[in-house]
Order: sequence, then C-alpha cells, then structure tokens
Amino acid sequence: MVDTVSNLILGFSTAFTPINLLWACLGCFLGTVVGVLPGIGPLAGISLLLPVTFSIEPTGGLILLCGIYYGAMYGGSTTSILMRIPGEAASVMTCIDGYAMARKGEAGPALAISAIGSYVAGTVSVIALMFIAPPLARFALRFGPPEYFSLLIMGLIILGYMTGGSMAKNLAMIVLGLLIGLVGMDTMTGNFRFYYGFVALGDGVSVVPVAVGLFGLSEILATAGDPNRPQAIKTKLKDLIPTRDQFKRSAAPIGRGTILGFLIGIIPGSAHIISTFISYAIERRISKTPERFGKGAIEGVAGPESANNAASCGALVPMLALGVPTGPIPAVLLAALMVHGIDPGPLFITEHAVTFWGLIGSMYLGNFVLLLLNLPMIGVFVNFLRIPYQYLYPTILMFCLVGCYAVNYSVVDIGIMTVMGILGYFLKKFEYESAGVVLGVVLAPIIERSLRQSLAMSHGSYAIFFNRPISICFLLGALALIVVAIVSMLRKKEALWRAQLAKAEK
Amino acid sequence: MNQKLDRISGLALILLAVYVIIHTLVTLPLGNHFHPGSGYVPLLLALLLAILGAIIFFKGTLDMPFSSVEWPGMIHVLVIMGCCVFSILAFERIGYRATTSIILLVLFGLIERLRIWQVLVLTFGFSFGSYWVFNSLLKVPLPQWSLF
Repeated sequence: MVDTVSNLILGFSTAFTPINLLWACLGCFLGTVVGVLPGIGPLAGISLLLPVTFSIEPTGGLILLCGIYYGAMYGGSTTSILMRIPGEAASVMTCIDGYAMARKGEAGPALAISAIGSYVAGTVSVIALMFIAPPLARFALRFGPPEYFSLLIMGLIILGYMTGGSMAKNLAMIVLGLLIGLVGMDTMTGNFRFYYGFVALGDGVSVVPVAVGLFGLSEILATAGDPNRPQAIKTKLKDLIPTRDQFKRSAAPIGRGTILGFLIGIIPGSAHIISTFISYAIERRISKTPERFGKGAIEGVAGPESANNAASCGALVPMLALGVPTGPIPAVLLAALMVHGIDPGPLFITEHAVTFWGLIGSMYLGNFVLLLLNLPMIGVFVNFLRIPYQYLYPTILMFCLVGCYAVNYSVVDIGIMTVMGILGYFLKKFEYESAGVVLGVVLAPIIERSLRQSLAMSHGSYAIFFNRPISICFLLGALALIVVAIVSMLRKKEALWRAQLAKAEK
Repeated sequence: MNQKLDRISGLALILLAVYVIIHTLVTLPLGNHFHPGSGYVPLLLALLLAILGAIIFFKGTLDMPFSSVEWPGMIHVLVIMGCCVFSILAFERIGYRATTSIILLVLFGLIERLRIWQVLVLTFGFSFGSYWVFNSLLKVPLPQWSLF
C-alpha cells in the first residue's frame, strides 16, 4: 500500500508536468472528436496519431494515445444519443434509451448522466488498474516461453469466441493477421519471408497501415457514397443538469456498470461491447418498471455508458501487466510502446515505473478533463455532428494517407493501407470481423518467438506445453472454448448474444 | 453469381492457404522440431487457415447469394481507391502539398461538386494547413516538391 501511494505520487509528478498535461488534454480532446464522429473510430484515430508520437518521449506518447482511447468512449455516447448511430461500437446500447430520451426533449440529462457515469467508471477503474496490474505482473514473472505461448493462444481463442459472428471466421482472420505479421525478416535466422523484392517489406508489416486500412479506409469506402446518412437531432442543450430523481435512478446502474465493465474488460475480445449488453440486460432485469426500457429509461444510458468506460480501462490490465493485448486498440498501444524501444511484458511496470505510473496519473486527470469536455463544452462537439460527411471523408482520407506514410516515410505503407482498406471493405460485405487481423499482426512475432524458444527448450517436444501447470491451465481454457463452439455449431444453435454482438459490430 | 457468400470466402481462404504452403515449401527452410526454420510457423498457420477455410466453406451459415450483396456508391469507392493509388505514385515525386491538393480537388470538386470557392478554400487550406501542422509543428518530415 505504501509502495502504491509513493508510486502514485511519482505518477502524479510525471503527469502534472506541463508537457504531459498538454498531451493528456490533447488526447482527451481528439478522442472525444474521434468518438463523436461516426466513421472514424478510436482504433483508426490512435493509429493515425501513432507516428506523431515518434518525436515525443514515450510517457507523453502513451498518455496521448490512451487519452484518445478513453476519450473516444466518452464521445461515442453523444452520437448515440443525438443521432441513434453509435460513434463507436461500444455505444450501441446507449442508442436505445439515449435516443428515446433525446426525442422526448431530455437529451441534456442523457448526455450529462452519460458523462458523469463515464467519469465515475473511468476513475474507479483506474484505481482498480493501479492495484491489480502490479501484482499480476509479479505473478507473470514466473512465465517462460511455453507459458507465454499458451497464454497468447488462449487469448486469441477467447478473442475468436468473444467477437460476434462465426468463430471459424474470427479465427481465420486471426490466422490471416498472424501470417501478415510474419512478412519480412525472420529475426532468428535472417531469412526474408514473403517480401517479393520490396526492401521496405523486409522490416515487416507495421500495424498502423493495417489498422488504418481495415478500420479507417474501409469505413470511408463503405460510407462515402451512401446516400442515407442520418442527421443529428436538433436539441436544446441548455438543460444539462439531470433532476434529483434522474440522479437517484442512475446511481446504482453506474456502480454496477463500473464493476461489471472492468471485470469483463480484462477478457480478450469485444469485451467493451459485451459489457454494455450485459449491463443493459441486468438493469432491465432488476428494474421494477422494465417496460420503461426502450422508451427513454435513464438507467439504460447510465449502466452501459459506465460499463464501456470501465471495460476500456480493464483492457489495459493484461496489456500493461503481461504485455498481452486483448483487442486491436491495446494491440496498437502495445506497438506504440515497442516503437519507443520499450519491451512490453511483466517487467514493464518495474523497469519503466515512470511511464506506467505517469500514465495512471494522467488517467485520473484525463477523466476529469473529459467530464469538463463532455458537460459544459458538449455543444462544441455536437457541432462536429453537423458537418456534412461530404466535407469530412476527403480530409479523413488525407489523414489516413499522411498517418501511414509517416510510420516509415515510405509509400509502401500507403500501398499496404490501400490493400487493407479494400480487404476490409470486402470483409464487411462477407461479414467477417477485422479486429483479429490487427491483433494477429502485432502478436505474430511474439507467438513465433515463444513457440520456437519453447521447442528449443524441450528439444523439439510439444509435451513442454502440457507438462507445465500454468501452461496446461491456459491450454485447457482454450480447449474448453473450442469445444463449446464446436458443440453449438453442430447443434446449429448460435448463442443469442453472439448474434446481437455481430449486429452491433457491423 | 448465385454462390453463397461463405462458400466464396471459404474457397478464397483455402486458395490463399494453398499458395502460402507452396511458397513456404519452395522458398523457405522448414528446419525441424528442435530447430524450427523460417518456414515452420508460416506452414503451420497456412494449414490451420486451410482447415478454417474448409469449415467456413462447408459449414458457413451465411446463406445469402453473392448477387444479393448491395454495392452502394461504387463510383466513390473506385475514385477513393484511385486517389490512394495516385498518392502512392505521386507522394514522393511531386510532394505532399501537390498530391493532397490534386486529390482534394478531385474529391471536393468533381465527386462532391461543392461550390468553387468551397473547393479552393478546403483544398488549399487543408493541404497547406496540414503540411504546416505535421511538418513544422509536429516535426513529421513530409516530401516536398521544388515547385509546390
């Protein structure tokens, strides 16, 4: 406890330097914009700004990128409430009652409760992150290459299961991502793989053009020519303060959403989206007046919005403590750390205490900044919604181009982005989820290295993965999920939540 | 094209896997279990991809035929893809500002048909403004052209 307090003081002293304050505020602002604007999600936003952080020192860069991540979770609710389209996938459930409240002239209280719930959830989750991540990292010091390999395999299979739609398709996308991640020089032997004479491909495929192509460019391709673009509800935002009754009805859902979101957020996959579904279902189930849900119940806004913010923070636990990303956004954040020469893993917290605790400190501050941005300044962000898409998409496209070019100062990355954009466009049409590709690209070198080191340790025997207790636990967990998926496929009985999740992710 | 979508995508994955397997076997050393070579993991992954492709091909639940897929705004899609290809060819030859100006003139002027003053303000405002932000403020060096 004393250690935690002294580390937290270190974190605040790092976060409150003028330059880091600037990065935190800028990240929160950009994240809110990214969350508000439909068509550019937090993943594309973070990926685009990744090259900008190359010239910043690592702590500042991570503070900026994380600010965009949790800022987007705040901002996503604005579009859901005012337009009935989620700014990002985790705000789907907010559309239902948030939009209903807006239509009744209660957009102000809906936006306010959403911001307050997000603030409470964000702050409580940072406290939980602060206490859970360091002991988890100490435990992970017992992991050798076999444990890491098994953990990553389990993580990827959970991702395949917990992402909506067909598990076979999700796993195929992960494998595709892993194959793309193996392009370039094999660092263990010096051989070049799948580089087709392009020198720039010799260094491998960066995660930025892959993420920007799959999540930025493909979204532009899918929506630029769509004539049916929804318009924002014109509403008066003067009456932002919720009534005493609305506060009273929101308090418990915010608390439940926070705990639920944080715990689910640690699990790989679309945890932040799933947490909102579960939160909404729980609130509706335990409500004395469930018939109000869908017609503007404030509990239906408070619970899911708190849950998605808590989940985004929970997702940082395995990333920071173990070096294992649970989704595409933590994967890009992990790549950002690697760009700065920081080796993610259990030693990250002890070896880079200033960066870790500085990030924690900045998250306390960031949540407060976001509360200010999303309450008194909400009108500014609502104006972003009124910009016609025909003005927006060309500029977003330009940001995609320059963002990808700036990674390696090579047009090959623009080429990769273009190919990935076309791939992402077709994946949408064929109902595949792109998240697995991004995660695969980031994890491919780590998985390959762990496998080859494990086999070298065991003189070529795969039994090493089954002889070590921690490793076998991870593999049994993965096997259990595969069995569940195969059984449901053979019975042709798809779980309802998976179908709903697939719909939300479209 | 009345093939079901999952059949088409499953087949595409199988073909990709077959290509990776052949490429790996021909060009990369496989090594052995004790000392896996550069082709070891790609081969394992390609085999796994082929199996998953086969599962999607035979057990896929997406029953829609390919012909039922809607392709709205194809002109936009083709023009945007063309802009990306153009930027690959032009970025390092004519520089950032000229490339972005040409792309934005096409998108704002020809595709979205905005008013001429809007096209000019948005195009040159963005090109020069973003160049200043990235190149001068954020120190991200962008390619320049002596004329523009």
